[in-house]
Amino acid sequence: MQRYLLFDAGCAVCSGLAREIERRSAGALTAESLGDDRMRRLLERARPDWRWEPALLEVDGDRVRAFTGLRMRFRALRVLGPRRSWRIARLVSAVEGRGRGLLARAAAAFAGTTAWASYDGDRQQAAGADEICALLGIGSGAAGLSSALAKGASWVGIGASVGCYLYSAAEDATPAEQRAAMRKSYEDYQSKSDLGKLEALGYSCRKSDDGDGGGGGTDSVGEPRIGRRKIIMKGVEYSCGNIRD
Amino acid sequence: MRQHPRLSAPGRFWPAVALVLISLLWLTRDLAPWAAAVAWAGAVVGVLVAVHAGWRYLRGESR
Repeated sequence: MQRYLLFDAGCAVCSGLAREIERRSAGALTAESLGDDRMRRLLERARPDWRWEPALLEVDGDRVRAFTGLRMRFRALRVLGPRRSWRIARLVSAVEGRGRGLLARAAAAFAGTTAWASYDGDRQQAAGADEICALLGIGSGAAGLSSALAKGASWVGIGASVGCYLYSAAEDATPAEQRAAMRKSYEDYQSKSDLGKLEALGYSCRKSDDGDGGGGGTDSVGEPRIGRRKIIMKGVEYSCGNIRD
Repeated sequence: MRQHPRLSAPGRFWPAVALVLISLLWLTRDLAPWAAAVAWAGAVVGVLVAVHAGWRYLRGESR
């Protein structure tokens, strides 16, 4: 079975991100442009009323399936597994340049995946989610009042509802706003030093003593010893470990 | 089954405030009419319970 991650090739940030996701998916996903004729034909077979939005296309012989919005996120999670999904989400959040605390990082990762996946996304997929979340919070609050629920459980329900609200509100940004935010984050990322970039990508690095120079700007990753890896960026070798991994 | 103890006035007050806040929070969203009605009901019930619990607490304190 072939799985294609379809993205807007007209958006430089999306293209770079999609290629990086392809690389990190270790062969599970192939990034392709939504404008590619073959992909469009496949997409039309799976979903004649398809729209210009990121999609996950599964081709299994004659069978073609397309996933977008929330369904794409869940499908990608299933295909990639939690570990790779987490790494990809972290990459997206690094590009977005969000907070560094563990909680902020988790929220950013989740929101980052969402921001990317719902880029120009299908708002209709989320219809009903707001109502369920509202009901969860109000129901938990009411149950807390009447002692029908343990006090702690009631607060947890309210907290979950607030989290859901924040997530939902973040999704409301228009595609233009999301695009502007991503562009700004990308520019912020580009303005960082090499060490800063590596740190934003989740690595804690220091320059290796035996850096051998070289040119190019191409990164490569090796495994010098357990827990640390060698990353060459713009010809400079760094010894890196993961931050809070 | 374990019975939860009956809540005291202050014990009811804060959950009621939370219920009001969460209801008002969700009312800022574009919800389906039935969900908006639930949120309004939550806000009204929350305010009533908060006022009632607060009143009972203050009356108990003044005795």
